[in-house]
Amino acid sequence: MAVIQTKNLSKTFRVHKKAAGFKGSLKALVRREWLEKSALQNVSIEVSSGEILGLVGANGAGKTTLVKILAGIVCASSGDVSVLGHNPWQRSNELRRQVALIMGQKAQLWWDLPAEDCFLLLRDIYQIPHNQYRQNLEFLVESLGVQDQLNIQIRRLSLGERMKMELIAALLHTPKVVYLDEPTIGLDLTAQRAIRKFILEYRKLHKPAMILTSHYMEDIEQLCERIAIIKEGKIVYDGELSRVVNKYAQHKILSLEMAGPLTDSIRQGELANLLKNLRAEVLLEEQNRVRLKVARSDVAQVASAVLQKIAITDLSIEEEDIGNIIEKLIRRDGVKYDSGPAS
Amino acid sequence: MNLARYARLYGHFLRFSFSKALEFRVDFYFRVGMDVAYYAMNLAFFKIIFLHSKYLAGWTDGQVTIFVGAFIVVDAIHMTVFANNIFQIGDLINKGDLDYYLVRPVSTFFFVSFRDFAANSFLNLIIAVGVLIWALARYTGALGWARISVFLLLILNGALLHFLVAILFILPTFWTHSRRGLQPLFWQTARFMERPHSIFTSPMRWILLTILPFSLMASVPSAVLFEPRPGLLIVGTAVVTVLFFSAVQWVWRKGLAVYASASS
Amino acid sequence: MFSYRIDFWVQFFVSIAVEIAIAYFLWSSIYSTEGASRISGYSLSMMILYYVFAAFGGRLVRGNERMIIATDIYDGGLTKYLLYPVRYVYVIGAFALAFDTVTLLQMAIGLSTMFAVFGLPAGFEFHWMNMLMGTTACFMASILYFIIYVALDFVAFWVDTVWGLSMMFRFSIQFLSGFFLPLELFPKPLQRAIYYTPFPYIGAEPIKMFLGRSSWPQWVHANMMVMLWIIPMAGLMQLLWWRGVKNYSGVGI
Repeated sequence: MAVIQTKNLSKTFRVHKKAAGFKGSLKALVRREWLEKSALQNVSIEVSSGEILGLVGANGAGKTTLVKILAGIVCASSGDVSVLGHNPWQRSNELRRQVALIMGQKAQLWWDLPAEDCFLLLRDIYQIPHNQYRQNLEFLVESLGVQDQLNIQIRRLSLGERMKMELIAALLHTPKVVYLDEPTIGLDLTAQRAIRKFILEYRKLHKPAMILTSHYMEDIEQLCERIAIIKEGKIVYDGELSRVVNKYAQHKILSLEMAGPLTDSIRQGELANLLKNLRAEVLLEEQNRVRLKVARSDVAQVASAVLQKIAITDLSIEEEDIGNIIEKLIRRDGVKYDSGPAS
Repeated sequence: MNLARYARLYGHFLRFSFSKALEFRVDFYFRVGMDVAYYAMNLAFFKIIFLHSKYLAGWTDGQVTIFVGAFIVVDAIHMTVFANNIFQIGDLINKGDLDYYLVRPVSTFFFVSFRDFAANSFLNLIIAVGVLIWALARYTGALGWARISVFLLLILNGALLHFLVAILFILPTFWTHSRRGLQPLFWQTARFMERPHSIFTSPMRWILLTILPFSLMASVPSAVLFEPRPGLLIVGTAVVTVLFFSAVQWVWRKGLAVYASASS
Repeated sequence: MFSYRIDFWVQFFVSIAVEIAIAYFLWSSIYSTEGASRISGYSLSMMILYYVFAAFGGRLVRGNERMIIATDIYDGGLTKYLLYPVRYVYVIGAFALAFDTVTLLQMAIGLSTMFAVFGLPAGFEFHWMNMLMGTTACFMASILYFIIYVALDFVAFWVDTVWGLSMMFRFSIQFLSGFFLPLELFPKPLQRAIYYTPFPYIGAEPIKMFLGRSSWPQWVHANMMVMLWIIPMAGLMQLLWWRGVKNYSGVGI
């Protein structure tokens, strides 16, 4: 059963259009002109418990709007939304007790207080039984390694430590639904890695349904089996992460290790011959290594030709980098995609 | 049950505030100085007037002193309990910081109204209450305990009403997105609270008893102590407070709906 | 920007209207219960006019009290001024002067509207000379007020929040300089004591000039007194500035 479900969800904003300058302001006083701006169009997604859906898209594509609708902060213009069987916009306490929202760009903890004071407040907000509170806190603090920072004012913590505290604050009440909006933004690599490791550990233990948005492809690759790519408010891909490669990668990379140094005669002779008839291009050549970008359909052919005609010691075939593919997909001028679900 | 839970949350707010106040000690002294100056100035103002007049709109010196005690207590409650919160509402709305409050399983309105208790004004509240007790003690006329109790209740009600009116001036920021809303207008009109309502003639008097109910915050509660038949004043105050409370709730809900459809 | 200015004008006139309305109701009630035609030499209409000029003159003297300086010190905005080849106090002073000019315009609009609607109060004769005396005295006073105010704001070099200090100062000055009550109503010994301070020359004296109750020698005297107080206060301000900048941690450089 899906925990989070949306069907044909759309959201349009009305923004007020103002001509520049004083005259524009004066005109706006009398009559305001409104522009309809569509933020989400017919978004249908499903997330079940234990699953992390990676929401990927450029800035302004609608990721945050979608998360806010699911959290009940923003109301949808049309379509159905259901989280644990509730309509989030009604913000019933029953639902809010089971949901957590973490926004990397916005702090929830109070600046002037030590983290533990905030946690105690949250204990009473979520009415967490004392025993359970102690257990949860202990587990969270230990797995994030912030035992020594609990009694230090938030404003004196490093960005990474602060984010860890934010995670603890959000997860104290063992929510069944977790929204992570850019949880690693601005953090250094070590902190990013620690947070990723923690999220996986937490998922194993509590199996919440999670939605993660991030600009870091590494977050997505390591945390999500499934991703939804959102572009200008529309879901353009929803499926397994690995399938993105099958579907959108047009090339594979062939790496050759030559038996001897790459001489001009080989380059102009065998190699040039080989590439002439096939769809392949040289990406890089060094002392005795060559990397070729080959169309997926031609990989087998190129490989066997290489084996026959050039003396090599090693040959390997790699997929194109997943991050690159996704980034190409979400860019406005990126590759064309077809709209059906991945097969 | 629910009340106990909110009381416990408020306990957290108090604790936070007192531990924070210890950090800004100098500010604490300045605030005491500021409010003592404000209290002394108001007492002196009416004292000087009574050098030249025996009555002020039918009130004696002693009665006016009680009235001054009443409005400085209302002011001190406002400064201690509500002022910081109201001051921040504009920023919460405009910077989208209401988000985290909205996802919590407690009333967002409660959070926004009460979360920042001004411990550094707490001593001022005690001083203001002291002034009021002093004013009551030196009053030479008869004051029954029943009336005094009603009077004290009405002062608390006055503080609530003061908060409700204040928040009505800031909530338009949901629509206008100005940083302070109409708050400066509130600060200016709130000065009507500092004069006995009997000096005003209608229609001004009626305005101050109904749509801008500044007279109901301190002046009418004081009048209840002296008026021969205060029933109507008490009922009227209660009705206006209930109406303002409902209005605030209504505007708040409308505002949240706008917040929800505008933020991205 | 434009809506901000509407706010600004609305606020100005609402606050003036509230001030005058409260004075009107209060004093009407006092004069009618006492049955008196004069209190300390003021007829009712002159008393109300006193508050009209107190309201406008007060704005001229107090200028823009927005605690720019304390905020600049607190959030580090001061740093850019330390790099500019101008003195910070001059920058703030220029803002204050510009603000006073706008206030003067507002005052002209406000007064002429009021006189047009309600007519000239009984016992008051309008003379340009009186307006000139009052306005110039207010400008002088505003320099003194500005210096005291800036000096207090410089305390922010040492303490995070000077809001309370600043408000305390505002209350006291407004009361002691006669913005709330004409000084003639104060008990005689208190009046004499206040005249040893600079405060009457910030409020009561300029207001009397507007009302036509002052002569040129009194104008000269008032301005001399203000200047006499400006010297030590400016010294104090300068001292606080030097010490403060040395102490300035330059938050967020």
